[in-house]
Amino acid sequence: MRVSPAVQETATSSPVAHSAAQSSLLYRGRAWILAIPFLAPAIIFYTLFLIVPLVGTLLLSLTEWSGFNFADIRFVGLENFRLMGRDEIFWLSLRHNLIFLGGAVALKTTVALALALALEQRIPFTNLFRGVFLMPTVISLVVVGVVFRLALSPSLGLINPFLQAVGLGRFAGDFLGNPNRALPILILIDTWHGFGLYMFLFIARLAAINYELHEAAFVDGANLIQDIRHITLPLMKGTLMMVLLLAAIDSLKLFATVYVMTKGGPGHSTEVLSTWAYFQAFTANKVGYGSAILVVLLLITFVLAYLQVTRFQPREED
Amino acid sequence: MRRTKILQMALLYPVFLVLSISILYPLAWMVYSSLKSDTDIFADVFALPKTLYLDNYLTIFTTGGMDIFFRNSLVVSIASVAGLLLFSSMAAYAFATFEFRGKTVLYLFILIGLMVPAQALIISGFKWMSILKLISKHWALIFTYFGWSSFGIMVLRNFFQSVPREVKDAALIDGAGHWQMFTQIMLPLARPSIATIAIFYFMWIWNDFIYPLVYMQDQTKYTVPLGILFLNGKYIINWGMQMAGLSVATIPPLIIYLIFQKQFIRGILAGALKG
Repeated sequence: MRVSPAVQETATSSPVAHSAAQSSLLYRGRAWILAIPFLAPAIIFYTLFLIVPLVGTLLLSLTEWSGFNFADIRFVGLENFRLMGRDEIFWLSLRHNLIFLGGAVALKTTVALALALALEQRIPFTNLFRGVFLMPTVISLVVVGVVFRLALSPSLGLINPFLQAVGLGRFAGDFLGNPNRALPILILIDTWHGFGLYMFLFIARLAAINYELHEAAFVDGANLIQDIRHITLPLMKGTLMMVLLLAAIDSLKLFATVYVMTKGGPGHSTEVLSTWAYFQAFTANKVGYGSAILVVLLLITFVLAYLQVTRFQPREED
Repeated sequence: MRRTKILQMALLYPVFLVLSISILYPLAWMVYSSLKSDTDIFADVFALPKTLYLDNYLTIFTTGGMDIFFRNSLVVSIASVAGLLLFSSMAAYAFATFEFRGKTVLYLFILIGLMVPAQALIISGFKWMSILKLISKHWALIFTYFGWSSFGIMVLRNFFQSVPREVKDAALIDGAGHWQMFTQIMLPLARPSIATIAIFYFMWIWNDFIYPLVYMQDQTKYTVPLGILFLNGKYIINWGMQMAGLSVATIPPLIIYLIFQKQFIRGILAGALKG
């Protein structure tokens, strides 16, 4: 490529003046006309298939509609949200979402942080283990759900014989059919599937901590535990907040695992907002009410996502 | 120092090993059970297959419909990822190159897409697709996935902005148009970032369950995740066939993960946490 005189000239000027001169020279004026062809396809699909349904959810939540005939849509204002007050299953679902969020976030973050710290130690094969720990995240939640449903099968699965073999036979029995056990099992399976992602966010942060800080600590006589407590963990606070928020947002996406493993049962003991909204809209034909439930889910997600996007962005790639 | 290292290994390896087994064993169990007849599975669920029994695969591909589900998933995933890469890289180029009025607002508008959970759109999305007469058409899925370009735009915009202005200006002054510059200079430079987002989008779309569940009402249009649930109902007592279906669903993302682990991890660090 030929280096043009214009570039040679501007290369010596200050960066600010340089970019201002360049943009007035090449980029202003015709900019919109030049930009539109590049922007149009992405913006059109984004608007039609993400923004329109998003606004649609908000609008439908203000209506009563059986979903069959557009002439039957009736505007009811906030009536659907008032109805939620009397819908016991709605509150139960919200409770399950929050229990799931708390359980999954706590477990995933703890396991991910502990393993990230352990894998940072300079011992052989850590790369291999990292690769294994991340593996479940690439597997479909439907596959994970069905495999564990079969493994947990009371008559024939893997888990009951295993518990008996290791002397924990008193815990054997029905898992997904037991209302007290089903939700904790879903939390464990979600942790199995997803902790690896967060582990890598921690590993990336750990790798960025200046090695000399650890050296200095060791020279001052600190042991490994003290080094982790006083050097590493304080520097991880930002990443920890980010992971907590990301894991919380992620936990609200819960749908496939429940749909595949328990369908919200037994007796609504694993019902969550997304499955309850799905039932309302597609089985009970209450499109407006189902949408209102999704709006609640959307609002919770947006509050968490807003915090995450504005305050705790992941490190962007180099 | 050497003694602490040995101590570390003695303490950490058992933990790593137990965890690795708890991750790998269920997957291995799924794969080797798919190679056993139901009689063998029910005789001993733990036992490894004695012979290589392929009937489960034959059945799900010839009479179960797995051939169709697999083809559907390939078509939808490849078309969606290709479009997403093209459209998001074009938009990212515009955001990184042109100084037009309202750019910041438009970019923030695009970033809304990063916060929206997919399942919050299914009810209105279903009605919208009915209006567009796209229910049970693969276009419904492909267009929907095209809408999730925010992540690609964000990653590629950041990359294009990092390209030194001299490179861009030199090409423009040489008389290259923006389209030429985009295809011949910027896209080749962005190859690593494009690989990263391609892997991430593929994993998400291949494994996506909720949109096919809602939009594909016709069995012949099912993608693999929906198809294996359908096979589950059909072969409810045939564990071997269920396991074969699950293994088929897992192989493509697993192979891609094993080959492109580095890109996949880069995607995580770039903020791609689609679930």
